[in-house]
Amino acid sequence: MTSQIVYLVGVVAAAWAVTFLLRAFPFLLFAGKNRELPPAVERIAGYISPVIIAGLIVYSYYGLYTAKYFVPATDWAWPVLAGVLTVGLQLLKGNPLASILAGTILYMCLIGLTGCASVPVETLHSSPAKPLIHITNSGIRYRGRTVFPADVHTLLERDGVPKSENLHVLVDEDSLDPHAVWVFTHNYLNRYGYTKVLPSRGGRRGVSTSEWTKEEERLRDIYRRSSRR
Amino acid sequence: MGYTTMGFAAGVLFAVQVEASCAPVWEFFLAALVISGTMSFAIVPAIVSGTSIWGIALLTLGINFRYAFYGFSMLKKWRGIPFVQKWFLIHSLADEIYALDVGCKLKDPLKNRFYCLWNHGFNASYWILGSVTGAIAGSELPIPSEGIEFAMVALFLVIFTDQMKGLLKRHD
Repeated sequence: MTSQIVYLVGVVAAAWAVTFLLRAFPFLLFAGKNRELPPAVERIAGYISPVIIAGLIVYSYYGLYTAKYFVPATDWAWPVLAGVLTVGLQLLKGNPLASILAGTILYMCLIGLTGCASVPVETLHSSPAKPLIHITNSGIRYRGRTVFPADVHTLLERDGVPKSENLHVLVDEDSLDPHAVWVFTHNYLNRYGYTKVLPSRGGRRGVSTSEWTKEEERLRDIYRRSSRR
Repeated sequence: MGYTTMGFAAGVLFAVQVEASCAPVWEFFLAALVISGTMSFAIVPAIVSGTSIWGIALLTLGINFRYAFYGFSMLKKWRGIPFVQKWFLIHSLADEIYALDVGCKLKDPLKNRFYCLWNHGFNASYWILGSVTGAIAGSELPIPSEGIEFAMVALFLVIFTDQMKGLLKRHD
């Protein structure tokens, strides 16, 4: 707490000091003199700022692509799309505020549509009625969005789903290739500490709990035997 | 108007991303001391990732380097302005404010001085007002925030687009 206050004071002070010194630089340099900047220096100065801004654009795009909620599989195009809208509007209309607002709103909508909607962490729990994970025949869905199986545990951790809690998985009947489901559970959930995986009442027609458990028991058995060998 | 809205966005971003108590207070100091839109956006991810103070200073140096050249065109115009007023003007010499200062056609030094003081005073307070309101809104209201940091990217893109336009025009 205290260290955070110290840190934030330092941050504000550093940003303020540097900014103020930069602004005061010409006045300090030419204090009392009546001079202009040599044209050569002025020309070079004109190029410094665009280079810095270009660097910042690259850096902040990197930030977007590595954001916590960002799932590359479905979101890869959104930053580019929103960027094109922003630049396009700026070229056409030249109103910075409108360009920024339009780009940001588009981006937030796109992320929100495909994204894991922002639900407060403490309200997010797995339940049979609202399973977090849904296995369909076209892939794994986490909170309604198609994700890479390998990303699921990261998303669970991000959302603060406790490992001690039952994790309900909805399995569509037509996707019940029991082996695939089991491999997913074992490789992508159990291995990362999410051991209490429970099947939820099925998607389209449903898989009964007993059926699923039986299948899992059988596969576990096979696995145990094969690993012993 | 533009300053209030930009400040609002920066304030929301700050309050939503930085997990600090009294976010509006911090945002107030940040807005009042560092009157710089780009910086207010860029500093947020830096704080979140816990960048060192030297890192922050370096980031500021990079982003606000352009300010070092704004003063040169004001040297003559601001000659003879009393000390405190002059340093207030320097302190609040941000992008759009500077553009208005440069665009001012008043030849009379006294009139020009009052124009600049009004311009700086009002725009700076609009900026602070927007930032603090944004920070309050961001910390009190459940605003869906995922993706809001695109505002910063968009700001850079807009600045870059305008700079490119300017450079191309100069070469024509």
